[in-house]
Amino acid sequence: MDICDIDQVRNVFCLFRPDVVLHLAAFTDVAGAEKDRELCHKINVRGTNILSRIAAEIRAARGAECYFVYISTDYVFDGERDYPSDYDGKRGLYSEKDCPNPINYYAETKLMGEKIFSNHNNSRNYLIIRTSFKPVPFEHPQAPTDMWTSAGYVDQIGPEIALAVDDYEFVRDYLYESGRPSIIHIAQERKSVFELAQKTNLDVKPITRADIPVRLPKDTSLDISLWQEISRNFIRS
Amino acid sequence: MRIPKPSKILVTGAAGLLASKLVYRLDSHKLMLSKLIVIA
Repeated sequence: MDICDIDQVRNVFCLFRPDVVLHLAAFTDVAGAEKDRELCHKINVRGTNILSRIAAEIRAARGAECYFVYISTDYVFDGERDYPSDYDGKRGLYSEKDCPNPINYYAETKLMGEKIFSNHNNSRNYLIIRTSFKPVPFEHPQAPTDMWTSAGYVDQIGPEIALAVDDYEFVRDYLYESGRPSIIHIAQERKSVFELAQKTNLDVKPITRADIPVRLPKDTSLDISLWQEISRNFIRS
Repeated sequence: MRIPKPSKILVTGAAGLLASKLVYRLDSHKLMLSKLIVIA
């Protein structure tokens, strides 16, 4: 299915009548996005908009739920916020209520994707999951020591997201009833990208952020306490 | 009381890295894997 072809998407949705749409398709090459903005926008914004629109059509026409789970990124934040003076170094900085401010085009299009839902949909119809994950082993021979992240490896993050999708009704109702936005951060503890890389690649060499030829945020570590609360106290119980 | 789980989940980007670690956890459901194809 080409998510940028509205007729194809409509046909697939009418044929399969999904209860949930888990939207993982994305243009994720951050450097490539700067070089081919049109393709990045087409996939991340136009494709998402078409899926959202058809899901809304299905809801209206059939009374079906067609709940939408949109995978977003920690890169929607600029990573420049200062630490509070009493910061204990044990938790991430950005919570679900913090204001995004992307600094590269990839992140800009992912935020546009978020807004398709937050601006045009009932909050009970969608969930935005902000996350960050890497393949195993770490895919680059070098990693920056001055960039901070809550990313995990995909074999750890994937099952966590599956848990949220599996019990999406619970997550949806919890967020709605507690007056929170339909956004959740699913990630791991804060560490440098170099520390993350060393977990699966002992030969990785340290570099700095300035050595990377694309603009990346300094610290996009995420506060994952809400997800920990929901998953620990409710879903896993 | 646990709420019933979804019966049909449409996954876009099913050929991607995240889907490879996610879909098997959802295999109790009727999945429709939708491989992303972008026509330039």
